[in-house]
Amino acid sequence: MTAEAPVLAIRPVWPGARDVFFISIERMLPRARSFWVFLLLALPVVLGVLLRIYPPKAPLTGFEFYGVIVALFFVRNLLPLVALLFGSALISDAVDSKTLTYFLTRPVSRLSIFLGEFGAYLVTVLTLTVPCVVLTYLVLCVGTPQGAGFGATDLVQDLGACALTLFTYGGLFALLGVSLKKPLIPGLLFLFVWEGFVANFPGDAPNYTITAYARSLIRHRPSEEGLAELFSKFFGVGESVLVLGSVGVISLALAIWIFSRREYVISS
Amino acid sequence: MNRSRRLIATAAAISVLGVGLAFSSRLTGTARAAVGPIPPEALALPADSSVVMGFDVRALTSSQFYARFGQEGEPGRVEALAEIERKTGLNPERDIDTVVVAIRANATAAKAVAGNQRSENALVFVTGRFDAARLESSIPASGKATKERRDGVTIYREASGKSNGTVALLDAGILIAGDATSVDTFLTNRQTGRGIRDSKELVALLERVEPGSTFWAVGGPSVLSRMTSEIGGPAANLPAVKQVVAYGHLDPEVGMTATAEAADAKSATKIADVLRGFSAMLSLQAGQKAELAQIADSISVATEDDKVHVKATITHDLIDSLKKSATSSHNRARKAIEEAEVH
Repeated sequence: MTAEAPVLAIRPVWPGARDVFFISIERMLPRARSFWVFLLLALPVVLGVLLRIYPPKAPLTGFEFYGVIVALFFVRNLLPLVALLFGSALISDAVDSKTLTYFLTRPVSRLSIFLGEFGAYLVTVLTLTVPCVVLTYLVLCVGTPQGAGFGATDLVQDLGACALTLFTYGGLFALLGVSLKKPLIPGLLFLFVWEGFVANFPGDAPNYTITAYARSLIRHRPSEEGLAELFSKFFGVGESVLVLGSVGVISLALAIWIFSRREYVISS
Repeated sequence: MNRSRRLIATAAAISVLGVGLAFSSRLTGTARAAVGPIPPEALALPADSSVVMGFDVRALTSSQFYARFGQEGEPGRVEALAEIERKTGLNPERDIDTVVVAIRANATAAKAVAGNQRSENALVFVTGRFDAARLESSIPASGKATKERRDGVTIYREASGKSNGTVALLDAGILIAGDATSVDTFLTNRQTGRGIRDSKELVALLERVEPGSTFWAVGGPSVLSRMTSEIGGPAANLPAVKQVVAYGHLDPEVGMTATAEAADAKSATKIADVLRGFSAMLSLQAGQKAELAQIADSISVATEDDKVHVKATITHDLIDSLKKSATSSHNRARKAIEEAEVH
């Protein structure tokens, strides 16, 4: 008489994803990379304090400075970079830390694993980003002639724009991360060559970049200058949200599809 | 509680407190009573105003700009303030804090336009420190006026029959002036609690004015479409503008931000193109006047759907340079005329 090994039932998608999320967040958030990224994201707060102590001669109000920082520093440059650092390493980090071995030998589906990992990514980057944006706003706007209340609605919209930017780029770079062995260089090229230049080309070229839609969400952004002023294209808020959301969801779906079919050889 | 949960809780607490502080300042500050730059006492201005504009006289007269350019014959001289001083004895630098002007362009006014008559029902709202005795002595001197006292308000009505101008002194700090109908509307609104808040569109426009602006103006379609047609020339061919919000400051440089909303994105692009063309024309004339190139550089135009954003910043030195350039041109022209007369 042979005893049959008990077959463990696969956990449903969401409970499985939740379990993965709680394990992954411990791997992602309290670590050196997050600390350095936080320091980078906190730079505008320090800059804001300096601007308040040594006001520049430029005729910009505190709220206008905040607009410049959110539009140019956060949405255009830093958040895509943060998404690249965290999003592209979503699965490779799990491989390196051996947590993927742990997940794959447990009764959870690959869909749950990916969703849990992506959820942990989103919570991590939002935990690092949102306080920095809020503090930048407070430092630059409190005590100015406009007062802290001016642009409060814009602040909330900006936080939404930052979250959507992180979601979309995160989905895209997660796709890059599961597709390529070394996604960092192609990711950087994409950010600084494609997104950096094509978004300011004349004609319909900006339609094929993510940054053109992301920057359109910052409605109090500063005016562009030089060629960017002539060629920059901006889209309606509804259109931007739809495109960014669609790109994020499609990228995630593709990433999940690839992750579900890919074989991972875990070296000892 | 593990480390990551502590970090998430801290970040959430900072964010919620920060956003809460931003909104609480909005609710507990003057914004609760006032609408945008309109002081609470001026909320009785008519809700059907097509254009509302104002300037912070105290900020103007205490500015570096005014100190440098506010004297007789200087570009910063505001003739309206000088006129107020002549007619009422009020010294704007000393007595006036803010001025808000509401212009109504109703159906009756539109008919008057056809007859080339002055049609706007402008109502001027002034806050400051007013000496009733001095006002009384000055108003009749500038024309015959009757005085009446109603519900604690002193009303002076023009009695010569040439116009129906009326000035009402609400208290020692608020004065309104305009035609009799507009002033009466204001006083009625003040008692019934009606006024500018009744117009959601106007409130929305006013709330877009940046607080702390030295001067500002918002306008709806009825007056703006007339303005472009009355100006004539290339402006008459511009697409209709639905609404405009403009505001600016004087120090440390003169800065102005305006957002115009056109009927659609195509019209907005057309308006932006005209403005950029104007800027390019200024650049082309840089050979004759270098300052024009600097002005052209200081103007930036951007479009966003059906909106056109225009921003201009002109330094005090540039204004000074333009003034000197204009004075020397004027002197050269006068010298040439004098020489021609001699010969």
